[in-house]
Amino acid sequence: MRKLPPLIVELPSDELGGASGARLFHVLAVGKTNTPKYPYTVANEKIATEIGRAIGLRIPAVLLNRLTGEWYAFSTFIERTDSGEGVPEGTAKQIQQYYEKNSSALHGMVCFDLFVGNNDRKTDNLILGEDGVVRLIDHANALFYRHTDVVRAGIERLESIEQDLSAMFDMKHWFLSALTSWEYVDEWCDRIANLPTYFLESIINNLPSEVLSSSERAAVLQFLERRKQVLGRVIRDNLSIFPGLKVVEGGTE
Amino acid sequence: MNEIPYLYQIIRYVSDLERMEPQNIGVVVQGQGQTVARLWKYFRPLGEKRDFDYLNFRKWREFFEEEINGAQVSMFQPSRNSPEFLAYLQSRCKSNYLMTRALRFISQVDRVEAVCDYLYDRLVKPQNDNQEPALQPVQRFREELLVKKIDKHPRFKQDEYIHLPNGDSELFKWQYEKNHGTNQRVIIEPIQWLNKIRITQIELEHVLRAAEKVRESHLNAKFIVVMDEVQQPPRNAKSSASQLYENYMQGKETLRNLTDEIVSSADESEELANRIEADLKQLVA
Repeated sequence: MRKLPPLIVELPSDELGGASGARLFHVLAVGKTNTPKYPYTVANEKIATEIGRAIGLRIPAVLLNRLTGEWYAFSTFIERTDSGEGVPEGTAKQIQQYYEKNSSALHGMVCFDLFVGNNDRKTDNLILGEDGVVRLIDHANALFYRHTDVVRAGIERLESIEQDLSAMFDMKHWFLSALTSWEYVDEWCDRIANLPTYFLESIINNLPSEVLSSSERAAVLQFLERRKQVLGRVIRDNLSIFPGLKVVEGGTE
Repeated sequence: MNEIPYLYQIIRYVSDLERMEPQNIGVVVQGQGQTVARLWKYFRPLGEKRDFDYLNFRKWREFFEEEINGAQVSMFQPSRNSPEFLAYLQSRCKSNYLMTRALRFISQVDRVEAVCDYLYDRLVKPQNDNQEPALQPVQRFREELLVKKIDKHPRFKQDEYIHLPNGDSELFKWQYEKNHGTNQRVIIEPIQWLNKIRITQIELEHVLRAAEKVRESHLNAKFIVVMDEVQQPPRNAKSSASQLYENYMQGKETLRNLTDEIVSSADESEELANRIEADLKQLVA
């Protein structure tokens, strides 16, 4: 019946030892690696995903693995029918309906993107699972970004978006107008502000040595540490970018 | 006449991702301020694909219909008439269902639907298949028997008599035994619309009699009727035709009480054929 390789195959090897009975598996995954134009894909995917999951967003886990000398970021979240075929990942209407019922999650997505500097957010990067939950995917454009005609990927990009939020948007982020509730914005900014330093250090330090240089590690940690404290203020200082957030007399509340 | 620019994309099905041999199954065309699509309504993959996942195909067809013909969802979808919308559609297709990038097409035809039909006929419609599957249940069921080669199965009987437990016998169109454990027989009888209510009424009466015989004899059988939709006579039709139609509708209700299942749509015919195929596979196993 099955037309495609199954998602997971247990290899016919002996148990590897240990009380929990570890074995070897082949697992099907979607993978990305760094390229000359996208020299930070692996680091961007891994760091952004870990942060997003830590603050409570639904993001499939990213695993790093090395193939023929190159590091890859893999996601194993692939939904299929019993016959092994890929299913539609939700219509625009279905995803809209999900966020109408989960407005806080929509705010969380935008605040998270602003925190990690991810501008590539459109419906293409949202997956409605069979369980009715929308997950966020594809964070290769976060943090160190990629080379474009106007942006130089790397530390330079971190510096430019730290100085000016609008520098993030050389590419359209579809959901900036979705921010409408200060209550939700503050809730998600609080979650981000409460990310422990040791947690951010841990994500960065656990990256393979080939993926980021020591100066890049230091730069991204400092960027995230500073930004987590000021994100709410950055949003308030750039209200023209968020037409759904209203200014009220005496402040933005 | 002016030359009018259009963009088009081909929707493709890939049966085996390792071989990556796509088959064109639909086309999307954008131009003249509109985006339209045409997909195979009853898709069948090329070659022997007995395990084709038709339900998943229907999910994808519904996906395209909603994305292209449903209400515009502004924040979540680029404007329907923009090239970005085509790129968006392409990005939503993964795995076995893919789309080409947007391709250019110049035509003097100013109706986007006409361009869509042309491209569909030219690029999508199978060359050796001028007919789409039948819409009426009986004909569709016959087609499914052929496509699935059920008619060739040695345990699937056609036009054979059954000797009933009470000594009577009856001729049935299709039948097979469901499994060895219960030996339940499955009987399938057609009532085909033959363009005249009088003739169809005769078919109905025959099936009614057969169903009554089966019930009276207490044969361990599941009785299924595949029934075409019957055209109602026009208002100005002869009263005899209207009366026959009334009789037919009453007979249909009686039949509903005498049978286990009435299949009254092409989709249901297809599902019935799938079930028979699965039953017969179990028998072989």
